[in-house]
Amino acid sequence: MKRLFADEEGVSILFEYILFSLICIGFFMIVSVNSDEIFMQTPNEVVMQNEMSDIGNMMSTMITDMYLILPANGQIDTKYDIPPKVGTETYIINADIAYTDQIIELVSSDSGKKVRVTIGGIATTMPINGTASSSSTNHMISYDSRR
Amino acid sequence: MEDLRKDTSGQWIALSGLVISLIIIGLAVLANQAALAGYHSSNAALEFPKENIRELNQHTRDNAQTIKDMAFYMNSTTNETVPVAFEQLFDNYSTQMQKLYAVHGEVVDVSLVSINSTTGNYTMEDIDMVFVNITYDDGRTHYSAEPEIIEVME
Amino acid sequence: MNDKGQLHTLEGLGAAVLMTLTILTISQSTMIVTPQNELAIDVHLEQMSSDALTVMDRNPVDSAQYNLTECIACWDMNEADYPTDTAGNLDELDAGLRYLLPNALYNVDLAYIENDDLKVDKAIINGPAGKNAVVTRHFVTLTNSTVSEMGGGWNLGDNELKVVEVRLTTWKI
Repeated sequence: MKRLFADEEGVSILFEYILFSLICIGFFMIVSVNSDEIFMQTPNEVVMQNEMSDIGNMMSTMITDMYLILPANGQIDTKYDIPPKVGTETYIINADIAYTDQIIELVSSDSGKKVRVTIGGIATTMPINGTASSSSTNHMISYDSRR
Repeated sequence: MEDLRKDTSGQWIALSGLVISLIIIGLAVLANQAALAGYHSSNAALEFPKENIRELNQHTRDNAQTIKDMAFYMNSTTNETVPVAFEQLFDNYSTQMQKLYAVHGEVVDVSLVSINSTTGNYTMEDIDMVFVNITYDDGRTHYSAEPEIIEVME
Repeated sequence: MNDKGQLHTLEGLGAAVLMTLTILTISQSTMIVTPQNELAIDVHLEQMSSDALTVMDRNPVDSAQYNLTECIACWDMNEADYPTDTAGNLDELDAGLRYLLPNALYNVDLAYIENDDLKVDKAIINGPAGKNAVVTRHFVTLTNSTVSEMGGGWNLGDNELKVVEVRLTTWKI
């Protein structure tokens, strides 16, 4: 028995075992707590930013193209398709502030993320207004010179 | 084999391999999504028939001038009056355009509404404007100019 | 337990983290726009070829270079034969397009209505169209006076006008 207390070999192995376990548990906890943030939220944020600017640019392109061929007397309307969701959220395209600010705004429904795209002053000569929700099936831009 | 199974060294290497592979997977996902950006804006620019509509309009304008000249030529060689000759030629033009656009799955209609004459006489100087209805439809985009006013000066 | 070389492993891990952080910082600080996007190239090419036809079309009648209508009017109606005779007698059109579309190849087809039927003739052939080819169209109207002035092979009556669709297929080499 006396010999057992005096014997200190193997202590370092026990300590190493405990320390390693603690480090591994700590690592596991940090990863599991942050995994959603790191692996879901951050990429989602990037995807939403990219996709929303893309769709904003698409609207801006279409409006500019339409503006170039507007009939003096007459009408033009065009249907377009947009993805129902960017990342994991639906969104709304808002053109009601186009006249005052010369921009189109895309607002995501859940996180309220906003992306703004300029339309280069077209709204002063061609009135632009309206909103479109990504979850509705049909989308259309219309212009009528008589209205 | 027994040696390999008992050899537990290099666990850090295995662990770091796992971590690095996870990071690379994450980056690959990001890079893929970045490649998607720019799809919708490019696609809209390709799909929207801007040039087709513009060409329909522009060519009709150019053609009104050609038709005017030809109508006077017809008037001098046959007994047709200028407005009748103009209308015949324009109908002919319209039919050809309809067929050429129909090949691409687009419905167009170009029809003459009226020939404007300042004095009521149909001479080269007096016919200054023609009114034309132009419509275009490709199933997604509908365009109509009713009427398009085309100046036909000498 | 062999615990040699732990520092090397740690160093490797550290380096990996450093590299990853650098890439992440660079890629996330700027909005990634991939200019090499295939569709974006198509948009550019379509605009270029459409502009090329417009430039040819808008050329004034009395300028040194023939415009699109005059070029088409002079055609002898003999289809091109690849690879021996790529442009027929449409040298003017071919030279104009080659100048306006550098780094690209193109074919030109002419579509028109003859006896109520659509006829498509191959006017210029520079080979089979490559991947991501774009098609642009322009229209010209031929009358007997323009055709006989240019000495082309279109057989038109005095009171006849013929709308010809100039179909330009362009692709990047």
